[in-house]
Amino acid sequence: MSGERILVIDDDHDLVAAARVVLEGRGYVVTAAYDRDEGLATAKAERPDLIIVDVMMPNATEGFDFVWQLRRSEDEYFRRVPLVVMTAIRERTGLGFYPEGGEKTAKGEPTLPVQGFLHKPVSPEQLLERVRLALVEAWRKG
Amino acid sequence: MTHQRPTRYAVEVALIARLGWLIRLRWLAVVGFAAYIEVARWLLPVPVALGPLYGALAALAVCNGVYHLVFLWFLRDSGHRGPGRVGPFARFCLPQEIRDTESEQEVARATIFAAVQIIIDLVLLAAVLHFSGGIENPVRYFFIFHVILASLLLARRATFAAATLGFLLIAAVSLGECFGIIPHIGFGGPWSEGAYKVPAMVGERLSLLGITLYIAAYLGGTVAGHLRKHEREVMVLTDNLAREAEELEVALRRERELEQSKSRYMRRVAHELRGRLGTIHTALGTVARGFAGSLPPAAQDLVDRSAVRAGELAEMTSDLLALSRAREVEPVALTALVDLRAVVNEVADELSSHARESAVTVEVQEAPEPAIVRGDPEGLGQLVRNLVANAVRYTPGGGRVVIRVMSGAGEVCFEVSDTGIGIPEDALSHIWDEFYRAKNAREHARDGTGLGMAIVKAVVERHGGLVTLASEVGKGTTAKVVFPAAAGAPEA
Repeated sequence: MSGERILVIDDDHDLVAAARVVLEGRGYVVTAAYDRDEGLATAKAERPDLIIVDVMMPNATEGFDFVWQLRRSEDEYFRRVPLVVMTAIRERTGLGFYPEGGEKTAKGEPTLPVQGFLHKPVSPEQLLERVRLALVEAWRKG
Repeated sequence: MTHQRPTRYAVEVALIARLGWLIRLRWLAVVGFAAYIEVARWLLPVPVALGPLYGALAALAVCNGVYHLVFLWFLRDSGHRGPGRVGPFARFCLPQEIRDTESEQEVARATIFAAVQIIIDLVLLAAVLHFSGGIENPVRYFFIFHVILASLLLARRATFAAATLGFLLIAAVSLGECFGIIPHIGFGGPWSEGAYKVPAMVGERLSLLGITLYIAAYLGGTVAGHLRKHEREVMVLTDNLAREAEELEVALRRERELEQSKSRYMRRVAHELRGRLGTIHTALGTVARGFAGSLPPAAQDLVDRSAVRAGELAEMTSDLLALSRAREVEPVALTALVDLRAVVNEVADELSSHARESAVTVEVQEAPEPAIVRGDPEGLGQLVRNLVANAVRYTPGGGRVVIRVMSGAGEVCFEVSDTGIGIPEDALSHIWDEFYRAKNAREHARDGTGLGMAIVKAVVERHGGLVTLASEVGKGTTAKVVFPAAAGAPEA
């Protein structure tokens, strides 16, 4: 599985550079964006096969906004494109404080309509595995 | 720091309470007086000056009614507190021990009220004495009661003044009757001894009564003065205690605020550090695993080491953040209803691949009923994660970790047992200390921040729970956490 186009959105340029090395090393085509607006514009222009987005960007929860804006889009593609959210593990329950946290899960925690979480610090293996799983899931759903 | 001025409240309340008591006592006197007249009227075969006596009784009742209204006004009045001018009469009447309070003017007002009552009482009593036999009537000794009352409410000199006034009134009545200036209204018959017209007998009775009144004034004044002094000391002490408690509370609040601001700063720093360390860790890991091309062996070795160290630092800053958060978490964040079974399953899933790699079996045994704890989901997740991760980390391959969640009898119990290396007895008492790792733990696993158990303890304490450890070296460890079950949690 290679050649898929992946958009990585994170304000940390160094992390994006490392992710690019790892992903491109496995044959993926990587595009980068460094904030929500740039990410949305790139997503619309490039229509990648997968988007990896950091939750915490300079303006607090930009990553969440990005996810919801994408999922509420009228374009079917944006409602279906696989999304992986990068977050520090201990910030996960921070989702609960997000006003548009969506429906509650069985555990009572609101969830995001995404295909997976990546907990920082991210190891290359975790990154590749999460990307692979998200793409496989998307492929299965057709 | 000492405060020698008791507050308005304590002194004034004590004085007003005494005024209330005096008025209640007088209502009793009104009833007693009426009974006295009726008994005299029906039982004694002598004419009684009913009109004037009932007149005096009515005057006493009307006066007491007025006092009662004034007293109620005293109770309701809460304005005009503070320092003010105190007149000469009030200064004369105000007991030394209750001067110089924060509301001397109000205390003085209450004292004047008491003094006026006593003066009117003495005049009325003198009238009663006149209409019921004058110096021949033992009622003359009732003046002593008023002197004692005066000693309880007024300054010593005012008490002596009351004794003098009483004496003068009795002297006026008895001498007036003796020398025919005013008429003698006696009971007559066997009750009238005729002593009122014998100057020597009047003089003897007057002297005896005068001496009794002044002795009563002296004794009452002395005892009441001591009592008031002690009362004031108690009030000053109580005031000081209350102020000191207040000061302590303020200091404690400031300390807490300072601590919180320090903690917020620490968290901010740790958060910033963690982000950057995480990136370094990821970047080094990328190079170390050859994603950026192969390295010469010496460079590979150094990059590997650096990647490990960066990972350790990132983990440590994360743990420091978690510890600081567990200790500082605001009460408002402790209100969520958390089913520990869900947390345990999530953590077990999260750690399953790591456990598989270490060949450790992780088994979850949970009760069918919900195990709901009220608290901070993040902290509780951290607690479960730390205990399970520790159990997996310190259990050699082929071993087993069992996680149990139970609830009942108002408690929720979470237990992690492993067949791991165990904790030496001498290490058990240090296990909750920050950065502490037992020797066998360091030998078994190089990584580990030594903060996990400190976080566990902080989270448990923040949730009002109890954590215990039972361990045997070479056999394993059981960590048990008991939380109070959330009140009003939904039943299964």
